[in-house]
Amino acid sequence: MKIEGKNLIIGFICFLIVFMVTAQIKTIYRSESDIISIKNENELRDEITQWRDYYDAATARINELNAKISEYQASATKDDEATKLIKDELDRVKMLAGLVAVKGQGIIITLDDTKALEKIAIDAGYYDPNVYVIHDSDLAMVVNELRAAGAEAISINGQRITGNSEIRCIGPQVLINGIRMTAPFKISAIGDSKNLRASLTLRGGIIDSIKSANIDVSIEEQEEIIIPAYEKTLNYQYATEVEGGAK
Amino acid sequence: MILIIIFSCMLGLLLGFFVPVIPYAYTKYMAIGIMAAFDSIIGAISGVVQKKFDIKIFVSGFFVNMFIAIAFTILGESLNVDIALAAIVVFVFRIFNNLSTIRRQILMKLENKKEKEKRVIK
Repeated sequence: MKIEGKNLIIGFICFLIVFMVTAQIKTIYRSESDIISIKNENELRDEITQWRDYYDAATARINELNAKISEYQASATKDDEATKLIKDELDRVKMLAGLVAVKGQGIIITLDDTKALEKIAIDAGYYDPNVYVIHDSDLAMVVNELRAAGAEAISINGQRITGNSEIRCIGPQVLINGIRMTAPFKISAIGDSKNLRASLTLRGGIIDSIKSANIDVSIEEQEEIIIPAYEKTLNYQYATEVEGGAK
Repeated sequence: MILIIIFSCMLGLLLGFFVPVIPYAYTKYMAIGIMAAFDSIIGAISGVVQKKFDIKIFVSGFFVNMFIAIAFTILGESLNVDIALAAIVVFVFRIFNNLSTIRRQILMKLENKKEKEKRVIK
């Protein structure tokens, strides 16, 4: 039995070592075929150094680009301010030019032909319509007076009066901004309503003279008048800017 | 006895083939264990040749050397010292030593035999 035990132990040891060697060889073989190319340590070290160089270069590039980005951002915000200023200025100029609808306190003057007087005149037998109807000059005088009194925006029957607007007689009608219109004329003006009314109703002033021309005039002050924008497109064909301004 | 050895070797080969692959990180420890085992076996053979073989010393040496070698390798790993290399150097050194001992013993036996024959002839 002692021999038997000894044999068993030796057999077990043989089994163990063969088993270990086989497993080891198999593992090494498999691993190498898995990894495809086993690089030695020095190669790997070289590669690490190389990659570290790449990394440093990439980091430097990132920093550079980040700096550029912040620079751009800074200038972009600057641009924003400039753009905003320009936009504000543009809005202001547009309003001054009458290209946007505006509202505010002001007065509405209504001018109408006097039907009653006209009838009397016809009855009397010396009817001359030119005497009784509202003329373009009447309207222009009112507008002129309103401007002199500091009106900021003026419209006649919904047509904005701008620096380019005409008030012109075309026979029985009046042409304003290329639109034909007839009485009654509703002139709206934004400005200090008291001032406007006062300057119009001055003794011997514009209203007096219009009234004496047999025209019905009514003036009402309003807290809020809305005046529409100039509808036509402004386009200068012949005028160009003078560099530096004319002296 | 030879039958048992052959049979167990075959069994080991078979099992080694069908066992799943051990993780690559552990092959280092396995290798050290194998070297320790080889050292023990060569030592045992030399013991047999010198007629001072003791199964207890062999078996205890086989397992203890193997485990200590693996333990040292792990320790070296954690200390960043290549103790595995030192262990392999020692094992290979001992294997060569034992092999030379075996060779010398076998040669001595052969010479003894020749001398005996000569004496017989004389």
